[in-house]
Amino acid sequence: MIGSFTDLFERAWRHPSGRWGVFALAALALAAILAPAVLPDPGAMPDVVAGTTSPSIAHPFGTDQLNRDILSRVVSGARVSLSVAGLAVLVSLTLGTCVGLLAGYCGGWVDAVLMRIVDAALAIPRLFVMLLLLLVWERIPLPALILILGTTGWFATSRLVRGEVLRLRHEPFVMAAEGLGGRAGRTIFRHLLPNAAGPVLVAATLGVGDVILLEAGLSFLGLGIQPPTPSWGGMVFDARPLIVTAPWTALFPGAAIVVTVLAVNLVGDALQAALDPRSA
Amino acid sequence: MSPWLVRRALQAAATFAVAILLLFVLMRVAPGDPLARLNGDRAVSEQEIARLRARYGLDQPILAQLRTFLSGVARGDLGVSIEHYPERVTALLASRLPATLLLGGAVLLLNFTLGVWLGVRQAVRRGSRFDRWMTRLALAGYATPSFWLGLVLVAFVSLRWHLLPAAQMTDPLLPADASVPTRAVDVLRHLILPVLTLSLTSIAITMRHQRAALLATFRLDYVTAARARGLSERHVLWGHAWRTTLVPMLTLLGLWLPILVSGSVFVESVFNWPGLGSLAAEAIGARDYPLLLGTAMLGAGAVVVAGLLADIGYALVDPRVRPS
Repeated sequence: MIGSFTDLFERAWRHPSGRWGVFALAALALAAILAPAVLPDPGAMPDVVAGTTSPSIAHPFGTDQLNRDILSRVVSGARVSLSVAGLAVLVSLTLGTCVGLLAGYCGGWVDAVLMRIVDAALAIPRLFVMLLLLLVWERIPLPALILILGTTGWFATSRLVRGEVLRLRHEPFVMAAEGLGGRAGRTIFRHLLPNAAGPVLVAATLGVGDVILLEAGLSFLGLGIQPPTPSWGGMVFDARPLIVTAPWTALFPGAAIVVTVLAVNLVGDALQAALDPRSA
Repeated sequence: MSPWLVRRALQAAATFAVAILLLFVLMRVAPGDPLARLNGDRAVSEQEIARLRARYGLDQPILAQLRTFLSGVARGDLGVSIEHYPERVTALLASRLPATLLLGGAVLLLNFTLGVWLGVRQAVRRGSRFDRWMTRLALAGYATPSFWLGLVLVAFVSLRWHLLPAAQMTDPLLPADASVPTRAVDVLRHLILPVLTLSLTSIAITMRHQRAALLATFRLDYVTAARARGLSERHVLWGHAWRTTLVPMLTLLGLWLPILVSGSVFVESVFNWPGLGSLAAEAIGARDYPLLLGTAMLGAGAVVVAGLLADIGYALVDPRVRPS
């Protein structure tokens, strides 16, 4: 069992890949924050006649089919992508933790019913659930996208939390808290939740990477972030006809997805290794 | 048949039933009318929409709809496709299934041979430079969107270097009287890039599980005992340690299949592979709800069956998990 969160973060920081992940994410966040001041406006007037131009000093990543600067579009795509993923994971984390606590703590038929539903939900590929929900909109509102990404991602988390609660319930310190007449709420929030937080944190971090990939895929299918808001998946889709003549239009947005998801997963990996050193 | 097997099969059936129910609820809680969107994309008259609504039973009360839906499912009838009207959804699914099985089977084979082997090598050389770089490479592959990797491979390998075909499963210019080996080679050449795309983006899962499972086994007493008896390291590895990791590797099958199902939607549509994934992508483009629902149900069924098969395999390998 880990002593505290500072201890966990310290050990994750000592993990070489964790540090690289943090550096990469910090650089991305910095770029996303500073970009508007430095880079050309990503929503600048489209210029169909000029069309795409190859990377140059003025446009390090080149320009797309509408002559918009790809670098500034990739950077503002980072802002959208990271905030959508962060909020969606927050939603699924909350839902998963609540359901997992309920199932693990109540046990009995509550547990049986909830876990049967979770089993069934896990059997339906997540992409299809989202597609069925997203298909009804003419233009998908951003909050709806975040909610749908969040509400389809909590099933595995709830299983994890339930498992942790079942494991902890018969630990002496929890039995003592209950034996001393502690209220259920106090047992849950003071004893069960903090001790289950480590694995949940790891799952949440890895979940951010999954959501970024899913969102990019949905945007590629036209069911994610709606243009003209720049999104990495949408940019790759727009680049499809240009892939041979102007490969930079597809390469840079795709590479942005790879770097971001990899960075997030490296951090998750380092946290996992810090939590359970034997697995490293 | 053992009572354990019957119970497990019933449980799988129940899971599938709840999944179908969830899919129905999903369709109904989604705001808006599934057919209303048809109007924007195509010239469909109001009367036409009213007729379609009646055909798909959308003008009936929700419980009646549920009853129609469930009795249809029970009879193996998933309705009529909107895009490919008047073809039945089940017929469309059946016609696209073989291509997807071929693609999925090839990816499965590659991931569970190469992925397992790499994971074993990593565990044996734990902490080495090889181990660290394989982990990083696998993670980078896992972080790569399959639609993008597919596009990049098509752009360079097919369109620029002309090494492999860019799309489809067979060459349309192949003469009709081509011999069987020629045809097989043709399909194989078309298979390489999609398999590579799906495998590179998912092999990390197999590698990690194999590595972790083997490392856990290395710590067990019986492995130490086998080493102490002076058995060769090779014999300890494959004859003793690796065998036990088969059990956790089997459960991976149920975990991994949903990823493959989702991935094939992107990869098949990028490569124009005539399978279920591109069928789902077509259904999305055409807002063909019955068809999309059908592919989702088939996907869920495959996941449930894979889980069941994994558990049966688990019981065959490890008798402790089937309590009498």
